[in-house]
Amino acid sequence: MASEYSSSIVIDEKKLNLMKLNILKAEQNNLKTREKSNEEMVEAIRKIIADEVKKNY
Amino acid sequence: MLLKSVTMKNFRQYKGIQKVEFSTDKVQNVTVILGNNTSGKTTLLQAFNWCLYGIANFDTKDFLLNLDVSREMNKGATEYVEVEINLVHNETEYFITRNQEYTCDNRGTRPTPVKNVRVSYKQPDGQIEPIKQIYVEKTINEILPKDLSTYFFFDTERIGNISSKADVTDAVKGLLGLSVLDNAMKHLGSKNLKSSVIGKLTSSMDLTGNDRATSALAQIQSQQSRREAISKQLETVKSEIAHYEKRKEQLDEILRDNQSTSKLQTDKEKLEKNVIHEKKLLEDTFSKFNDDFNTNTVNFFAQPLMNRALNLLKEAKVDDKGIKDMNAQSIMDIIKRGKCVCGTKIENENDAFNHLMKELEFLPPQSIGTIIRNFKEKILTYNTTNDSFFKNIKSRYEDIFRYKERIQEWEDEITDISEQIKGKENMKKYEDDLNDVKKLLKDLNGKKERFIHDDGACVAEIERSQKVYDSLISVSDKNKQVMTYIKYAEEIYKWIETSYKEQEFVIREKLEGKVNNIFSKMYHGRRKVVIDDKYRVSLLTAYADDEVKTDESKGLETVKNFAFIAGLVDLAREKIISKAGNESMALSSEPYPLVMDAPFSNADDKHVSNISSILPEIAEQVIMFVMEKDWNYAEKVMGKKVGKKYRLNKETETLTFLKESVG
Repeated sequence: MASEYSSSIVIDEKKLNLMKLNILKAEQNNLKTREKSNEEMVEAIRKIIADEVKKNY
Repeated sequence: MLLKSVTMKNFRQYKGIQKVEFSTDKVQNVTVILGNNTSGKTTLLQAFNWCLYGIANFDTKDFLLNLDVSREMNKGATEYVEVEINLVHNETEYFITRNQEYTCDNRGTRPTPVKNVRVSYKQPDGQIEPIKQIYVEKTINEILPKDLSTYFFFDTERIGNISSKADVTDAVKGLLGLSVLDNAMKHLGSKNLKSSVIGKLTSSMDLTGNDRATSALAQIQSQQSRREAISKQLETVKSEIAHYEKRKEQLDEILRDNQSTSKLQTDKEKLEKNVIHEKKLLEDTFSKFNDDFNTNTVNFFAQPLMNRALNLLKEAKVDDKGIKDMNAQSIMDIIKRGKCVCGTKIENENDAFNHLMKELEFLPPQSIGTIIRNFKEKILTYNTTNDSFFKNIKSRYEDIFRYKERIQEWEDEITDISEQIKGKENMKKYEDDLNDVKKLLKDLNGKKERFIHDDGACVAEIERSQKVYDSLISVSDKNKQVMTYIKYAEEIYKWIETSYKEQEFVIREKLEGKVNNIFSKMYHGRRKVVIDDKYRVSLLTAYADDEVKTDESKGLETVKNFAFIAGLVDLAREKIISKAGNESMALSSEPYPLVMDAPFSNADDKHVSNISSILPEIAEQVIMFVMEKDWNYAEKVMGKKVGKKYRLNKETETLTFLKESVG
């Protein structure tokens, strides 16, 4: 079941922390330049998460 | 944010292009602009406000064009007013420019609808890049929030008590870096926000061929939307409850403190009602008295005369042998008819005739004895009537007197109570208010309960739908991946939400500490500054074992506002760190300038000295517009800190030149 699978996902703390910082940096930078629209920022954050999950350290 | 320069073109008395470059030196961080009254100091401050927010606080605020330029314009000519601010914010250089077009026609020179504001920034390679027009106002507000502009561009003589009125919460949070966290939370969102990260990921789950799962997901999203709507309504109701509970406390306190006044107020109202009732009775009784008096007046007032007549007639010898109410004419008529009422014939000189003739002797006009007898009887009847008339009138008169006496007595009491409660609040009004507030609170609490109940129903429905969804959704590889992303996204959201709450609390505590520290350096008294959850500032005075809010003089208000902005600037310089494991990043560490018009206004020597020593220490950049005479005192303390100095040379009422001054 999906919920059972979801509960079984183990969070990689290192990846999680990198995601947090990268998201905040992206937000901080966009506050400065306003280059990205809301939709673009949502996509950027989604990409930060997806890229980090896929990485192998 | 540090100001590098401001360039004005035809802005009020600053004709042509005039530029001020501000000191950005770390040690000599003060820029002084010296000028006497009406030379254009406040106009300079307004130039900042107009350029950034389009606000100009002049009597003729629509007319900013230099009057000399305006007069020189010919029909059809066009001129511009322009102000450009060059500043550094978040290690990036920005150029903010606002202009307004003016044209001259038959009716004279007037502003046209053409006005615009632009923001551009310098990229690391030196290239200037414009900010998209839709983000211009937002960017300016991020650099320096409009709500805080009155603090940053501090007009000492006009600032007033703004800090206790304006809600600067968002502005302060933005300034201290919480906007980063706020935006991140908005973008991450939740499952029901389809345009957010989590919402999009949820929608991207593969539900092919599974209508029930699709419908369960739709139900989850719809219920979550409903929960959000309920949550907003609940927040509103809670804040309304908080507001009215505060009001209830205030009213309770007022009524508690004025319990005796309240009782007196009630007594007074009761007496006033009594007076009205009594006056009505008086009016009715008086009306009856008049009616009664008019019914028997003649007889009553004739009574003494009649009594006198009765006394006189008492001694008179009265032959009363006559038949009562019989008169001589009646006898003569019977004789003339020749037959008595009993049937006896009446003939000349017979017994009956003689008897009747004898009777004439006892009747008027030969005798008045019968009349006197009748008169006496009438007087006796009148006397009886008059006695009861008098008793009635007397009783009414006594009532009137009693009513008047009582009214007077109560009116005296009302006057006395009025004196006692003179100047005190109308307690009845507060009692009515309290009843209204209690009713409102009851309704609001009922509403709150309903919202909580509805929210619980939504949660139950979401759990049920979630179970359906989980049991049906296939755990395909694609879905496994999406579920992993969602798990991370939700973890990040939770972490940011917690950080936001922690930072919010820490920031207010720190700010209050800093503001009090600065305030104590400038004001030596038993007062302290408190900052509420809306970042409103007020002063408390130590009184016995308690601290109470007291009235603030204009001077004290200025010191308080100054301490607030100085504390904010000081805090903004500090690094507010967000920690993620061993890594961390600064959410904010931004220097801000203090731009002040007449900071020494109405200040004594000690005050001038205090301000002069504090200013350059707190702010990384200080820009002051000062009168020459005030500068003489301040220069002794902060002279060495001056990096740039200008003088305002006022040529005419419509023309001032800015001139850089050395030494």
